[in-house]
Amino acid sequence: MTAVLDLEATPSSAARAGGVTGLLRGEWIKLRTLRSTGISLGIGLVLMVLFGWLFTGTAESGGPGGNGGGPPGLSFTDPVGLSLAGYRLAQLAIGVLGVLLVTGEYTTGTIRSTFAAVPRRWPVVAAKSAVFAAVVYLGSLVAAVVAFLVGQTALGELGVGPGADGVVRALLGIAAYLTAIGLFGMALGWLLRSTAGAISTLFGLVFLLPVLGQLLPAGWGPDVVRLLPGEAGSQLFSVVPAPDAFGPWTGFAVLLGYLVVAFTAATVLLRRRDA
Amino acid sequence: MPSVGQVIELQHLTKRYGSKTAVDDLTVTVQPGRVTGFLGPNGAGKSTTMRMVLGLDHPTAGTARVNGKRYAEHRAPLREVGALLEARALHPGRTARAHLTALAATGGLPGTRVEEVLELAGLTAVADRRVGGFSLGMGQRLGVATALLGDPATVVLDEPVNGLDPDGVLWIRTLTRRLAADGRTVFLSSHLMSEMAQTAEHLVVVGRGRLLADVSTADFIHHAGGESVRVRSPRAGELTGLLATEGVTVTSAEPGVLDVRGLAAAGIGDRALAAGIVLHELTVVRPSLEDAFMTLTRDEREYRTDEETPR
Repeated sequence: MTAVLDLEATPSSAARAGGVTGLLRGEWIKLRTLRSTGISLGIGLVLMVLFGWLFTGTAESGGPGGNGGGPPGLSFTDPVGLSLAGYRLAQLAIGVLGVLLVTGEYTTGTIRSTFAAVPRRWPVVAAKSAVFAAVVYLGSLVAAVVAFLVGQTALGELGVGPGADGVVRALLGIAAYLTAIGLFGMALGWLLRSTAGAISTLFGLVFLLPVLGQLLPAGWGPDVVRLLPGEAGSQLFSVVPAPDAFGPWTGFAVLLGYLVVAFTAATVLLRRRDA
Repeated sequence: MPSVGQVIELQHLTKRYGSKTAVDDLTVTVQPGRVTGFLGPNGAGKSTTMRMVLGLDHPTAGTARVNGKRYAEHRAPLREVGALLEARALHPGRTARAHLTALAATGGLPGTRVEEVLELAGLTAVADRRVGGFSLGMGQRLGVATALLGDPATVVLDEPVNGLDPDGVLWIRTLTRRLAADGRTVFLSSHLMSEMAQTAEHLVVVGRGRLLADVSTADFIHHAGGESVRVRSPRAGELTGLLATEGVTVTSAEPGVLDVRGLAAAGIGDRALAAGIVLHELTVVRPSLEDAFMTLTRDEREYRTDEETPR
């Protein structure tokens, strides 16, 4: 019997002990009483705004290096993407925070108190994810809106307004994407239970493999690269899509696929393993 | 008050890690209303056993039940069993109060319990300080406060006196006895025989995962061997002849000092006086529990006083 089947079979079992409210409240207290939460999230989101401003602010001079050089992978024909390009740094901070919120319980040993309070364990995974997702989504949305407004202002005539095509999807989407990356970090944390292991895996999948993928043969390389979690998921907020990329929803579905697999594996292992 | 009269029942409890057996076919019932010491050298499987009682580690074979149910089957487990499993299972960045408040919420316990256990552990003044700055003893106190958060009928404490100053040791001793007097089941592990002898009324002794003894502390002390008398005299040689009669053994570890078994101090004094021999010392030596414990765990000899063991 897997934990996933169990989840469907006994939906009321989370209502033991502190119940759903208690679980969410407990995880919320744990999240907000750690300094690292505010620091990681704050740094990530501030960097997102700052880099969006940098990329857009240097546009008039032709970008870093001048004369249409521009930041790698960014195009001035994509003002929305340019203003949101700082997400690459934000996802780093948010993914690491996701990992730390889980592995921190293992390295400190508090996971034992937590699982002693909730012996079924999976409700902890669910509650921790829900609280983290809500916080990251709201924070990212605010940062995305600020980055967009700051960026479009800096772009001047090249900039677009919030009513332009795909802007709303891009803003809501980038918050969803960052939330998904944060949750991916959490899932890796549950799976690997080690801070170093989970962060390395996250970095490898989200940052390193896309770069290494460029070295693959042109014939099938792009087909592999677009399946990577970051590359696939980021299509959700791309307004000017890359030629080989998935559509926004297909891409995001691929990222969600990673999450489903990672969380399912984590929950099954969590049930079998010793805490 | 929690419901009293809960027992911890271990039946053929076994835990293997690969080829290593940490807990080997352990069958023990821990009774309420008294402090039961769980004694064994480091690596004897005490912590593993306690984690299995808490449902954190899965037994390879056998069962661990509290009040007739596996831990995970309890609806509000923190109200049934409270545990201190390892020193400092605390996030250093969180305050003592935040740690307890979060766990109380998760476990569905009233927030008023947080203040109660902080008070009980003497941590009210430092409740809003980050745990990272706590001394080992303060961390241990917070661990005990955490264990008592649900006002549980069963209390499981793994090496609670580790790192405590004499004040803290006395606190644990008084607290555990009071919890037992309330009718709670108190199961307390230690690798220190002397500490257990002062705290526990009953002992469960393990070595290499196997049950070595399940006896009352009084019986354990009795089994440790009778009293002996240390006699110091300038004429020890002559005295040896006088004392070494039927049923008395006299040994000497150093010149001028005799170790007499089978004869009370009064009898030795009488015989010495009758012979006009001066005594410089006449001391009753109680058996060393530490030695008895060492011998027991080294030999892994199984001895049990079944009249003390239920069923």
